[in-house]
Amino acid sequence: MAISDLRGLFAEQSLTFLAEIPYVYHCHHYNLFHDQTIDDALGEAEGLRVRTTAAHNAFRELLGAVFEKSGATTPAERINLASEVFAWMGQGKLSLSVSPGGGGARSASLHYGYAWREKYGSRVKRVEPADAVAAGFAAAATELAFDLPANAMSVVEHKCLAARDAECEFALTPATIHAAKPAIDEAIVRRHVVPAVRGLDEDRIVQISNGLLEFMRGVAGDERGLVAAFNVFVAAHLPGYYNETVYEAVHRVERTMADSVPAIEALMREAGQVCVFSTFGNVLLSPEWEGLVGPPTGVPTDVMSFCTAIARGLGFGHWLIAEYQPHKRLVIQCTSTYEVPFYRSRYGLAKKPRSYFVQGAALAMMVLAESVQWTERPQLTNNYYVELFRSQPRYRVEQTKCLMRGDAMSELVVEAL
Amino acid sequence: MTQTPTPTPALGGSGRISLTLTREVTCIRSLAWRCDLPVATRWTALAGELAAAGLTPRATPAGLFRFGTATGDEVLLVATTGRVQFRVHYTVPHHERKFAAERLFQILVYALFRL
Repeated sequence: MAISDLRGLFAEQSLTFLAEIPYVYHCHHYNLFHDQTIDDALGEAEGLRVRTTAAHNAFRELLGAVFEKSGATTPAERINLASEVFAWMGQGKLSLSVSPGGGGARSASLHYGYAWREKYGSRVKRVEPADAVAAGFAAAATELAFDLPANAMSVVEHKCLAARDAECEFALTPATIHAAKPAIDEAIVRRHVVPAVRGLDEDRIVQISNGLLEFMRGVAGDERGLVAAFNVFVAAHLPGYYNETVYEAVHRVERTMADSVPAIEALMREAGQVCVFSTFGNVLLSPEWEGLVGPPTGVPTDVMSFCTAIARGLGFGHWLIAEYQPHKRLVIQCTSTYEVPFYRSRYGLAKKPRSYFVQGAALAMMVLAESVQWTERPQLTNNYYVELFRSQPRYRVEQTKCLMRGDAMSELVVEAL
Repeated sequence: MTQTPTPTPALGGSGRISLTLTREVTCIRSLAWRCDLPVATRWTALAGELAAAGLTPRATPAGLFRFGTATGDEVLLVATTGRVQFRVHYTVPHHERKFAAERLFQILVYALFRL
């Protein structure tokens, strides 16, 4: 069975699945920023541990489902298939040499390490490894290949492209076993959405997002297991990874450093902001988009609709524009997001709105619509990002409704300061 | 922060056009380059010439032509706007990317000569 045959689409909610496990697309700018955010919140050592654990858990869910659906039963079949899935996702090409007692893994092309070196390598010296996602994947693949219990493998990346090593190398060793949490699959996701409703410019948004979904169906890792598209490195990724890292970090800070919670929440929001600036922005300026939709017009209402369509096309859920007054106010509503099912399943009802990613994304959509001169072909650099989000007019975002809290839908209100 | 706009291709009296290779809007350093052709270009014929020059056509959504080289570089043509993107493969070292883009540009120019 081809990996692409394992894909599924909950079309009404713009949610995508692989072997019934949710997946989404993000670019390397967001992925690197996300990981840095977790480390900023928890410190490098604890951040690395939380990120590796989250990747381990997320890939156990995915690979377990993939092996079951594809009928892979022997260790060799499972290791091969796991590596193929990882490369198909654009996460890189990883060679695993493992047994029930552990082993090693290596790669010269991993999404995180390779992209970090490409983005920062000439300016920043890094000593910590960058590939917690590949590490967690290697541990999960090894456990499942040999029918070992959850967390039977511990993994350490001891060489990394981002630290100027020639290859990334991982060592896998036996570890203490913990109980695995139930997988968050399509059936659970479907329990945590509400019926989709139409927003402004709905027909055009549906048409564009369908075109983008169709385009993304053709996206897969190249011979190095990487995807260069839309002028960025793109990867299919597991919401379980993003969600576990974010909510574990936030909950940890809430328990131990309550005064720091607003700062940590702002950091998590900023990751959503970076996603829209980098991923959505590069999609809008790409030839792929120009062929699909046309060149950016710079008309704010167009940009807003395009961003909403991109969110749906990347599998982020059914986002809709409920209200938009240029320069004044934007109301984005969601009948589904990739954050909600994880939170509700793992933690129950939230006491306050917690869709940090969508909060930041909504604010950034307002800024992209209002302040970017799209027809002048802006360079989406770090300097431009800083300039854009610090300049006037400035906006604030408030989440007024949240599915995680049990509200009828999620709602984000962005207003000019 | 914006890039200097690419000159609009000028159609001369003899049907001549002026092309400029510029660095493309992109976050990955020097990987993408562009030039702009008149929208009236005979795109299907140009695509045929690029294929005849050894580039491999790749599947794309409607409105886009996409070709690859043996080394993984790509040329993308947006027929509706005239945009051409030269996408150098990410494994090409940074200091060689401009030259790789110029080689792709040259392939395009020779293909245009043959139209």
